[in-house]
Amino acid sequence: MDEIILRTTELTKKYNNKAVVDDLSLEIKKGEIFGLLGPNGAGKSTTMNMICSIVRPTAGKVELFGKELNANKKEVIRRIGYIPQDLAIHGELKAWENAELFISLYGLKGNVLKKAVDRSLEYVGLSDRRNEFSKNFSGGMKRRLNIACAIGHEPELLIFDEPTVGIDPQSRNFILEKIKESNENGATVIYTSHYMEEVEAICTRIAIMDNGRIIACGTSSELKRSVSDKQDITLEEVFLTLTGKKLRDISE
Amino acid sequence: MIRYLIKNNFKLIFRNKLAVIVLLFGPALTIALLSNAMDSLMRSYEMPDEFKVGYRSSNSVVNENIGTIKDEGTDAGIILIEYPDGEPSELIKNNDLSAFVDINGSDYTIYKSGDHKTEGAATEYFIDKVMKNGIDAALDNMAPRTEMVSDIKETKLEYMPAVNATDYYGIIYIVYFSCCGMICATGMLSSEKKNGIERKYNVSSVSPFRLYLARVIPTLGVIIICTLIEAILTAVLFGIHWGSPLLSALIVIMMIVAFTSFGFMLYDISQNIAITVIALFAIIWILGYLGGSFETYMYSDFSQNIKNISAFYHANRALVELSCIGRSSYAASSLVFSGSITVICAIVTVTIEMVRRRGRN
Ligand SMILES: Nc1ncnc2c1ncn2[C@@H]1O[C@H](COP(=O)(O)OP(=O)(O)O)[C@@H](O)[C@H]1O
Ligand SMILES: [Mg+2]
Repeated sequence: MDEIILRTTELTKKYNNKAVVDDLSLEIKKGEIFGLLGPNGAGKSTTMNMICSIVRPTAGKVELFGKELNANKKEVIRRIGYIPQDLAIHGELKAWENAELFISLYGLKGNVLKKAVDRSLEYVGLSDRRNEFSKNFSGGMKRRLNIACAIGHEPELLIFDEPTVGIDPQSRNFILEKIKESNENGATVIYTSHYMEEVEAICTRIAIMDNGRIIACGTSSELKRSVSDKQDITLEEVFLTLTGKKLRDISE
Repeated sequence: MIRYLIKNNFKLIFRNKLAVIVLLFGPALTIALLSNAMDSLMRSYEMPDEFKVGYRSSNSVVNENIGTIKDEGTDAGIILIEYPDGEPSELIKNNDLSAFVDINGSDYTIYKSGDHKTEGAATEYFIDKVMKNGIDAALDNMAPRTEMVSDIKETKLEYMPAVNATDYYGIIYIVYFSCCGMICATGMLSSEKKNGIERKYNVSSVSPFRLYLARVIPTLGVIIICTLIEAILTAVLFGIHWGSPLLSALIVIMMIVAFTSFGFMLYDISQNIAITVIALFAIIWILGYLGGSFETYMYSDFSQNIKNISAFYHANRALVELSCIGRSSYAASSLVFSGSITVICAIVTVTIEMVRRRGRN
């Protein structure tokens, strides 16, 4: 049996008594690229934040690498690389300084840290821009730097929260390629997006999320088969059939 | 490893150039602009060559030496006149006295007039010396006591050998500005806030205490470096003289540490940089006002108890006394005061952060 990397059990988050994540139970196995697809406001980021212990759940629990998150936070959190939806980099620091700062948070130092910084910048294609202030970067470059800052400690689980929002197509393709590459090198990936083409292109398994709930889960073809016999149906149509609304209408 | 956090926070602070420039040149500019005003402020405290002080002495060891004491007084410009009967405040009013001394055994009470504060202070200094020198060692530990009369305000022994205006205000403005030094951290803090860096800190396993140090240490580093440059600059430009450099540096650094910790506590509570800066400036202004940062503490109208609650009073007085007489009994109380502020503020800040992290929404 495949090792379970992440398990959430009846995970719930309420704000002002309204559940934005509702009774969410998920299992993600080692080696997957798991896609969480849903319109803006579906509760994707809130779910990811609970998995990283940035947000405390109202109910339910999170297990990572077979261990309960709250009781083992210190140990477990080091094995995750979390790339937040909103950029978290200092504009007044140079690219390499940002990478150094954030990678050092995971206990790396000296030569090991230096190598990790070089490797991460190389990985996102920013080696030749390492001495530039990140405030002068384009949106795509900032996103790539944001990724470099979160992967330097070689995490086993990578969590990308909408890494391709608002960037140029080249950067977008670059990021998608890199996610696949990381996965091939052994990392398990959780990928949230409201772009169904992306999710379909890279994810091995997909959960469709709406109003805080998972309404369907499976491989792309399983999802399609579940709503129609036709072969050429899109994920968009799956979403429409399941929720009665269009993904695009809500999200863009 | 918070070494790298400290290093990069240091860069963030230094790259906020405006705040660093204010910190570097604020005091020098203030001293240059205000030097005339300071001179005249100080001059207004100058004494007349001679003034009259009434006295009364019962069962006092002083009685035997009263002739000598009177002569010494005359040399110092204090004309001592005996009034065996009458109410001291009435005597002061009716006989144009600057002060009245009631000596009883080894105890004495000085009545001062609000119109003659400087003379009152000089009298007190004189009598204190007389009692200390003129009496047996056995009587040495007497406690001077001061009482108030109508419009006359209380001051304990406040006499200080003359300090020159530039030294006084030079020292005091450097202390004052450096205590506001936390403004230099605004670049780092606003970048953290604007860019949601807190989340990244939370997903790492760096403890709140270490994060606290990672912010405070580089802030202190920048302020202390700027203050040192500032002290050298003003010493060269205005000839400001510091006494006992090591002790003075320790007192100033501890004040910086105390008020920076205080500022970080305000920021942790308010989570708002503008509120923090305004509140910090307001509180430092009030404490500075009570502690002689604007009007010299020697002649200020505040009661001793009020002055005592201001950390600035202890630091200012210690530094000024070190500068002009080379020692000060206020050095210890200043260090205790700033040390306590530091510890309390650090504990409050880290506790709030820990609670906040645990109960995160
Ligand atoms: N701190 C918060 N307080 C109140 N409501 C919140 C908070 N964070 C998120 N929400 C709400 O929760 C819902 C889900 O948000 P989010 O998880 O960011 O969705 P997604 O990432 O899928 O776009 C939204 O309606 C959002 O307004
Ligand atoms: Mg989101």
